[in-house]
Amino acid sequence: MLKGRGDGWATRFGLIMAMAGNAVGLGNFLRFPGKAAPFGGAFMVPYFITLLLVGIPLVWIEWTIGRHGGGYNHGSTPGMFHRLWSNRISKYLGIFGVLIPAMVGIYYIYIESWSLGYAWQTATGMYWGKTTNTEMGAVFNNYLGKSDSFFSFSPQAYFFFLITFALNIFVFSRGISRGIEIVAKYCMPTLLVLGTILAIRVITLPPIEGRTISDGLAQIWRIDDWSVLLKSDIWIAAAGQIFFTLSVGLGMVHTYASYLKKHEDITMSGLAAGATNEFVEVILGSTIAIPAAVLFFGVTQTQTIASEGTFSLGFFALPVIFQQMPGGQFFGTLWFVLLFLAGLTSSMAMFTPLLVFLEDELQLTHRQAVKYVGIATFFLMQPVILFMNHGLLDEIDYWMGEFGLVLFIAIETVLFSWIYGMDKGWKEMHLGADMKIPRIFYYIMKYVTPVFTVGLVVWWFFDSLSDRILMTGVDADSRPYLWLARIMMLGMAAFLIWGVHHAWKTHPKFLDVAETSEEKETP
Amino acid sequence: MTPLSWIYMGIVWTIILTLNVFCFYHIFKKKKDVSDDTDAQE
Repeated sequence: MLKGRGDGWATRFGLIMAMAGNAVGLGNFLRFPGKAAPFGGAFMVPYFITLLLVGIPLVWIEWTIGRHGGGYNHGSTPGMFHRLWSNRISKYLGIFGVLIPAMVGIYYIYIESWSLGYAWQTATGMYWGKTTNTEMGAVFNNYLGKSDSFFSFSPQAYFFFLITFALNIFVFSRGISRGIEIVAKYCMPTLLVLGTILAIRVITLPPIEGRTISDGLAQIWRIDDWSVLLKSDIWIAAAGQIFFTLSVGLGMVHTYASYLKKHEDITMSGLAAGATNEFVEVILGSTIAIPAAVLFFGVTQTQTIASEGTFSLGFFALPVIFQQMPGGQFFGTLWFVLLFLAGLTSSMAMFTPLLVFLEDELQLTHRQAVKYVGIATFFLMQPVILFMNHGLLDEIDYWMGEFGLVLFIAIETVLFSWIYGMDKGWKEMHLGADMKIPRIFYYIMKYVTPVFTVGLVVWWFFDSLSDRILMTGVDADSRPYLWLARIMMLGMAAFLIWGVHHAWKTHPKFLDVAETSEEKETP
Repeated sequence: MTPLSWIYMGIVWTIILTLNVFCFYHIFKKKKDVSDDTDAQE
């Protein structure tokens, strides 16, 4: 067993599947096409540049921070950052790596449950006959219970939410090797098979009204206008997609890597997990939703649908398409099962940093940690579900899934590359490595990645942060709900600040806290 | 899709598939080597 501390990964394949599963999520099939389509083929240029200069380096950095921290029995970033930089502030900076995934998980599980609900609806043909986007939009709102009333609630959506939540808790409760790893080992290959079947089905669809699949692929791969590359929007969208798809800046990679022993490879394994994610996103993700939508609706309408939001394509347009496709009910069900599996392999990672923080730093047993996390997150999920009408979910997503993620990435790259030092970092990264990373990445990690990510935070700060903080343009009715979202996030942050403060005062492993990163060599 | 677009897509797909084959070939090869060594020791 690959066992650095406590529970651990039973096999290397299981670890890579869990890491890849953590990265492969709803973003690969829903967010990616939605981001790429409005820009046409030009999107893939900044996408690959940021993948190479920021994404892949970050994967290696996070695996390294995780394994390094795991050597000191830290499974979450407060302790990991403390071991990289002995300054008293470092452990508090690490709180983001627990806070962000937990808060994202609070709404992600609900979204994941929609896929399960829609798989059921498709299999039973419940929305069959609704053959326009507008009608499917109404089906979607009805499914979520969205109306003019105070609460957005529907018994059906809530039922599937409960199933999804219970499934996630069950997986957490079984731990790493008996829970997360087993699910990843079975779900990831299944997901790859389902994705391949759907991609082949879409590629082999016959022309409709003169439009072919080639026209759909052109939306991703044909560059008509190079000048869009001069706009900042496309670079921000590409960078955001890379972070989101690789699941970097969320603290989850760190936690999974913390179970590795000091001399277990991370360079090849990290690259394998990243490559699997890119296969799913670029090859499968780009071949299903957009080409099918272009074939059935045409280019202009597809771009409009994609720009309407992440869910328009997957939950409105594709169900319409499935109804017109031979064998559509079968392939539609496969599509939503695929989304559900992609969501599950990601969501089961999201509460792991918090669980591990409670166990490693606050000395709770695994059973106690699962119980407390289960109860707390269940209650936090209720406002997200009930007040969806009022933008509560979007507010959490902005601060945690967008801004928080970029901020945390900037912090960790500066900490690793500049404070801990790239020379030590490079050496640490190559302990037991199966592959020598090309030397050019040393310079990329030292200069390009931190400058890019810090630059992104600065740009964000000047571009739109003050408007978001002050809720500029938000109507008065929605403001109390956005404040509720902020109170939830701040409440969780306050708990984690207390937790770090308490752990560093009471846990025996911190009583020798004078230890610095230089003394690390014998964990 | 223009011929250039097909080439662009083909190159990207080839790179990603090659990267996957490269990584998993080495990972499974190493796993096999380790189990062969263990068998030999036994």
